[in-house]
Amino acid sequence: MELQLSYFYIDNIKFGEKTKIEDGILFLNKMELKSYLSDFSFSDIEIEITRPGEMTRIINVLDIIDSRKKVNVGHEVFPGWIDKFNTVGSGKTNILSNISIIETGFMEGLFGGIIDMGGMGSVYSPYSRTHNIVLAPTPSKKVSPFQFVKSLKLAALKTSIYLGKTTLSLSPNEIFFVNYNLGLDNKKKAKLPRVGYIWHVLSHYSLREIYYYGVSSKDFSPLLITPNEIFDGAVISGHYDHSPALKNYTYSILNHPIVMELCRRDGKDLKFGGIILANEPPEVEDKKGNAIRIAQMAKSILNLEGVVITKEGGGHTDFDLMETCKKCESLGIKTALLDIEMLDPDGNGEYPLVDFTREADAIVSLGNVEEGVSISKMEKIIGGNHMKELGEDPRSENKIPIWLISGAISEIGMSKIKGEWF
Amino acid sequence: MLRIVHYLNQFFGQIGGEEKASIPPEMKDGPIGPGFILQEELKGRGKVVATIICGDDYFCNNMEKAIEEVLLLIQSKNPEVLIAGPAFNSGRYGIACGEVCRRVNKELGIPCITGMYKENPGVEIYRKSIYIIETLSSVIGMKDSLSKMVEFAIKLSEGKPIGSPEEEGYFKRGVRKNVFSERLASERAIDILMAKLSGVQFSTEVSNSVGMKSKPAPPIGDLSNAQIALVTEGGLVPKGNPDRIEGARCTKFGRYPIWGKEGSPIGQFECIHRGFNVSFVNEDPNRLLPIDVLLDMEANGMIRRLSPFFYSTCGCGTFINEAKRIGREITKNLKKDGTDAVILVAT
Repeated sequence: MELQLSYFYIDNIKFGEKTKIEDGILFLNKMELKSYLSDFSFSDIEIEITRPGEMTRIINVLDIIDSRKKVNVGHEVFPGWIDKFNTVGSGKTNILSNISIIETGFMEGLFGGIIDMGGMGSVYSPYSRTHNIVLAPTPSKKVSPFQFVKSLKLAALKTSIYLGKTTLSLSPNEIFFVNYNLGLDNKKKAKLPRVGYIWHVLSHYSLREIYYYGVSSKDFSPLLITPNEIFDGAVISGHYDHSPALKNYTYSILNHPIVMELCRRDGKDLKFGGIILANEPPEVEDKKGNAIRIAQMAKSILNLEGVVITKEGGGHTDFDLMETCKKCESLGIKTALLDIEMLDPDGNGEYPLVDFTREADAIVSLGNVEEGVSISKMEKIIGGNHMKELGEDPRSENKIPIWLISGAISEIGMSKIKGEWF
Repeated sequence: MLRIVHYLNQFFGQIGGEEKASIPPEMKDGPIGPGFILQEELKGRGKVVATIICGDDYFCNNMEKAIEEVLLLIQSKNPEVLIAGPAFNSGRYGIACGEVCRRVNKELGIPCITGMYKENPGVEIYRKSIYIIETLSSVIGMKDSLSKMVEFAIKLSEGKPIGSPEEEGYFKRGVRKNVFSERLASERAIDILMAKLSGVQFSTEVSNSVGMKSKPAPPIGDLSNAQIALVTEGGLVPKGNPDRIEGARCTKFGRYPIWGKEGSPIGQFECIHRGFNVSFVNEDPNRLLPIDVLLDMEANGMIRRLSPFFYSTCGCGTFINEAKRIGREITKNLKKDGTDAVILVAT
């Protein structure tokens, strides 16, 4: 399945009379977008622009996405949301580079993070370096958190496509071809090792789930998916009540670093042999059963020799990660894991990982999520005016655990932070 | 000009050899013996204002008394940094240097540095609580180790960030710190997998040491003679959470009376744990703490008694050192209660 990803570099975003790109600047008609995003779940919606270096703190950050648009086909990206269920992953998709759309919201039952665009706290998250369009709706009086977040998600996805339209008459700055083939029909003896990716996503309950084609992953069995679908927005984060560090933002999913890297190396030093998308069941016996089925799929259907495995979530899901590792290794599939560390703010605690198994001898560290970091005093706050983790004045200088910064920790590896022994 | 006090044993303090190992601590002005090399390495940035000399045997055999005496002497000189040794491979000297550094740091708030050879028993005992520069096994390493210790001392006194063990030359302390890698974690993961697949040597970035650290207590022979208590990390507390036990990253525990067969716990207790669906426990707390069943067992003589108090903390993202402390404190209480065995209910 062939997909062309076309990237359009954006240097700045400004409000303007017409939404368009001109000389690398994205102009945004605020009133037009506001009107397009109006929803009965919102009594009002603020739209703000922030740029790298500004002394602005975005709070109550719930999800982050980028801007994508299908070109000249009968359907759109984010199948199951804007457009009905449709096959995605072929043809051309345009992407605005270096910008992000940030969903913010403050309601009982929601759990948000922060992004500092300047100061000491701006060195950790990739979203401190993108130009950001922040959507800050106020929930309507009687709306439930479940309805509010559905509307917020829809608003962000609509914004994504709305902005993507600006690329349609332009030439891209960079093109990346995805030519996906599992390579199972290759009758000749494979010279390259078959490497795959096992992607555990968290779905314990509503507001803590991932969507695939608009369907919640709560009751998933492990399934096979293609990189093409991921790049066209088939997998979307529905995590609205989860620690900012222990979930994967839709932006990082759309630009999935492991999947992109495996695509780049496909046919060079490895054969990219498939992706298994799997849930993380809440019960121990189900976690074990899940791991067995995943390993079986990896071995018998995809014929993989090696797998990279990631998890989503906190200590609970270390068990899923280690169990899947154990079962794969027992079938002769070599594993490499990515895992967060959970120690105290000073790095004490002896055991960086909550669960562990002897077979997990190749683990990449994503850093201690509890480590305290300093954030500077800010001039401006966007996304509300209160967050309990920031105390009375959300603009103040503070010392916070790094998990509060959205994007600093990335369980699918879109970060350079790692832990070391000192 | 940094004010430094130097701690030495009887040998390096030029009092004598083994026959003088029992001398109590004494203080002399200025540098002694290796203190002169230390003074040179300071290159005008500091001054050894006094040297404390103590016999290794005196220190190790009367540690509490000796440390009090040493602390008083050090305090009287009000230094900005304390430098001890280096002790190279001398075990008693290493322990003395380690303990002095640890206590001076903890009780006087003064930064300290010492130096030891990797096989010195002082390394394993003190590496987590103080900085120990790695030295050679004998005095051949004197100048080099004092030079490293001086640079380190200056950094400490200026509050400058301390680099990695490899950069600065100290023994790993067993603390994890975040750093920025050159490459994305995603790339490092694929690289380490490819190394593993091709048989090339690789090393994991993180792991847990595998193996039990605590020995289990001997089993209770006869349950009918035993008092059993319930302890849980399930976060069950009296309604209203009067002790404000945290639902995550907990630092406290509570000691609460059990409910009897007549008194229903429903509505009197609530579960504040942030890591699982607590509605099942709130519907009937006996699901978390099977007090109803244990009271039956008491009535039937299967156990002598269910302790009238249960202990409750919350195990959701609890820091390990906090958990250890909470465990020790609960144990003290259990012993006072006369409890013989515990059913530990995890969630």
